[in-house]
Amino acid sequence: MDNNWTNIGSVEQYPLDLGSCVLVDDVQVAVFHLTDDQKWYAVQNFNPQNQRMVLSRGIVGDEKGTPIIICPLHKYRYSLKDGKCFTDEDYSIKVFEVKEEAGELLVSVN
Amino acid sequence: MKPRIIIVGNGMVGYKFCEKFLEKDTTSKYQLVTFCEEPRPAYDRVHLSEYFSGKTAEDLYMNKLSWYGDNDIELHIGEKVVSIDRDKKTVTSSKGKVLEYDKLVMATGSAPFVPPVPGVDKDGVFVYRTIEDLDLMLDYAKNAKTCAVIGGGLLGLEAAKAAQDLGMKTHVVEFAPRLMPRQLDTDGGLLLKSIIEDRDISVHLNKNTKNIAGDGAVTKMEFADDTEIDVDMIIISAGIRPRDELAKECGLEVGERGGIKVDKYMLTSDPNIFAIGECALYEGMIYGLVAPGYQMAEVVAGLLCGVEGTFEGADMSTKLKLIGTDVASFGEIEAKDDQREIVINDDFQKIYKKLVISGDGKLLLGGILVGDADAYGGLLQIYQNQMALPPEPIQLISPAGDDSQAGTSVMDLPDSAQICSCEAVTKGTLCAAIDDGACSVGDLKACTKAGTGCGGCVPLMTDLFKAKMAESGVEVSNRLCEHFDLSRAEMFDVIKVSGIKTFDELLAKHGEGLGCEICKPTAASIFASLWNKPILEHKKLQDTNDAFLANMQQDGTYSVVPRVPGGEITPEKLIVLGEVAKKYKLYTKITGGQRIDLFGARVDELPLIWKELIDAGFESGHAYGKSLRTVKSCVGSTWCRYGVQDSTTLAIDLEKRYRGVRSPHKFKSAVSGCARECAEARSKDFGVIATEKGWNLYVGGNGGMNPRHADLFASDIDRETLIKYTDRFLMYYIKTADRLERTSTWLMKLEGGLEKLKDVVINDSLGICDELDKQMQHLINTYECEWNNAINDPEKLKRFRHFTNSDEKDKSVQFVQERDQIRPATLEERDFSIKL
Repeated sequence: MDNNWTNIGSVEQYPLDLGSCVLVDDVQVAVFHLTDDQKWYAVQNFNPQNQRMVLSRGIVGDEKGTPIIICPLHKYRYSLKDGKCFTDEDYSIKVFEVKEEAGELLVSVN
Repeated sequence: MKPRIIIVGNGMVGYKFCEKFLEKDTTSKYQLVTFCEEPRPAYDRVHLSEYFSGKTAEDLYMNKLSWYGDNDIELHIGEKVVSIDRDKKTVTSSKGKVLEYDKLVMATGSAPFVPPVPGVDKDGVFVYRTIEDLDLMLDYAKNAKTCAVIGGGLLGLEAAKAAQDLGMKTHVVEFAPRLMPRQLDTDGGLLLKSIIEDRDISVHLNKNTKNIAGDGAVTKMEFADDTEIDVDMIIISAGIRPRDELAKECGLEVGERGGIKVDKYMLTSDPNIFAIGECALYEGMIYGLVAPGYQMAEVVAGLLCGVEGTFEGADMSTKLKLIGTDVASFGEIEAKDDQREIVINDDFQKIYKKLVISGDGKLLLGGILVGDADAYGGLLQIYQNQMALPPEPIQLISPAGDDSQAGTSVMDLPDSAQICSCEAVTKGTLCAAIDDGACSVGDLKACTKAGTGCGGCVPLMTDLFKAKMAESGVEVSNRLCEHFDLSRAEMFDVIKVSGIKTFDELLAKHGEGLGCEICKPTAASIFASLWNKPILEHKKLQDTNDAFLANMQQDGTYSVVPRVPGGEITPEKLIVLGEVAKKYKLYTKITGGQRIDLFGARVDELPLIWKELIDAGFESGHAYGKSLRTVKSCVGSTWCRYGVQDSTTLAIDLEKRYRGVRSPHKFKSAVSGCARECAEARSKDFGVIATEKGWNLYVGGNGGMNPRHADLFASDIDRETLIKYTDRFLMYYIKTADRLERTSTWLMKLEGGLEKLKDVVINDSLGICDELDKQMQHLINTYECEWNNAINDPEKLKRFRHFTNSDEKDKSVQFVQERDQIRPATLEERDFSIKL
């Protein structure tokens, strides 16, 4: 299926080394701007472990080279690459496609 | 075609057999086929009540549905075996399939026992075993107000908790004269009863249900003693009966009171058929716990892969949390003949502990723990390994004994000692895994499965891991995290000496990778302790609370705590707090630190709320920071007829002096105006108590998890000396403590202890006092209210919105009313479907 891209505005609005939350078709998406090669990441904002919409407000970092987001509530770590939870393998989050085009950021949730 | 092993039943034990078989099977000689009568694969029945607290059926699965296919296991869901032909070696399924087997494993489990009481067939009577049972209950409970659970055993109490969580007034009805009659003695049962009743569940003992009354649906329970209770719903949890109907029908030997007879190899009377779990009868005993079921699965999986092992019966010891209370029991629960008992029965703190020991006091034969089961892991090891008891065995259960752990060092255990009984992992296996390079408790769990069942052995595993590390001379690294090979104190010195001002510079010069939630906030805290820029200048480094200058609560909203120095507040300011709380509909509560906490603010409301508070003369209370909280005070000599000094003024001055100072952990203080100590100064990181001649300074106190009285640091000192010593004490702590280390732990770990601290602070033995004084003075001079800074900086305010691309509110945040205020909606109360 073709990706259904949604424009979420100028890249300027997405600060480096931080997460931001955007609403795309009623889905809360956490967008991260990192300094690594991939630069942009998008995952679900919902943390399945505590059932809260908080992941965009966590700290970003890496575990053994894999970029991660750490939940601000109970510090569960999720891979930004594939959504796997490092803290408890029973949990995982969805990873969405995100790209930069002409200074704008586009995300796809299908 | 490969020969088949057919497993009849895909419950926890049936599943575990498949898992263990796959682990051991190196030749892939057999095809595994399993039939599952329920509409979903095996799930964790032990944690079934979590289905009520928000877990989904999938969350409870023992393994994902795809796991079966990935491992080439033929899984027939919603299809049960209806007959077995032992001559032809075939089974017939409910869908009419006929499959040949080479070996058959019966894991049919058990069914709830429903006593033959008139009226049990009425609407509103349920059993508690499957997800379907729970769905029916959930539906019915919507219209029910009162629920009775028949059966006060382990599962009955679980069910009672679930019923209470569903909002029903809950009764537990038990036939025996005490709760948990298999695990507890009379006094232990009585104490558990009183704990449960304190939690608003009624307990009725010695009750024989005579009739369940009601017109179509249940409305009343009538007992043999002519008493009755009105109920809308009943959950029956009166024991289990093994599912042996298939076995009976095909002529396998079964016990008189049910159960498929097996020998120590779990073989039934047919040499090609095994039985494991709750359907198996071994030496007249049905094992209704999951750990023995797993052991049986292990034995059969081993035998079929050519490894001989036997099941020799299992210990029925259990530890669990029932209705929020620890309950554990193992071995003998009452002394016989010349055996002796040691009992602690504390009806005030609601703790019951009992040891049964041999007449000569050398061996532990069993025990019971109610209310506090921390000692369980250690006691179980002593019991199972027949280790010698210390001369005063009461130490093992008395609170003072917890530190010394006399005789229970994990390194004293033999290699054969079973640490994890759910997964049958021994100390030897864990040690081997550590020797093979497991470098964390998480690694140990992953490679041995220990600690992945009930989790009760994790503390013991952790002790073992640490002891093993220390023993093998591996220096337990004090590096902060994988990104920095520095301790916090080393990082502090590095940043100070080289004048580093940003994390990127620090990472480039001394670290690697992108950082994490450990090193980033640590660096941010050090930057603040040294350079004292408003913390949102480093917003990407700040932890949960600091990132938004507010305390994040469990539902993702925030709380607001303005500073109220010394707890002194004018009526005008108090009214402002009330008005702001009212305007933004915030839950309002008085804190333990003599100030007021306003809860339930959304991230976009925080700057608006703070603008109003700052305009009214408030400032940040730093409740969100690892920094000074409050300096609590009494009214002192100004008002109190016993006061000898003005404690309120000193408290206000101290709070203003140290407000905003960032430290390795939060720190608290208090000033009392006389020796009666109403401000509780000795429970604080630094506390001051007035004397006739001046002030006594105490340091290193703590409330919280590990309470500790502060030590007297200096007596009868004047105000100027007091402030000098406190400046230095705090700065020395900030410079040298580990991350998240409170002053009490730091002081206890400090080489030389209190005397060393006095030497450094009073006698300047390290020659650093001048530097400490200057650093503290710098922090005091550069203090700025972070909220005032933030609301005047458009760049910082940009973070305070939920959606970057929309002004909508976060719909997942919902409140309900309780006692005329808001509180977060529970997961069940939330009217919101999460779209992912």
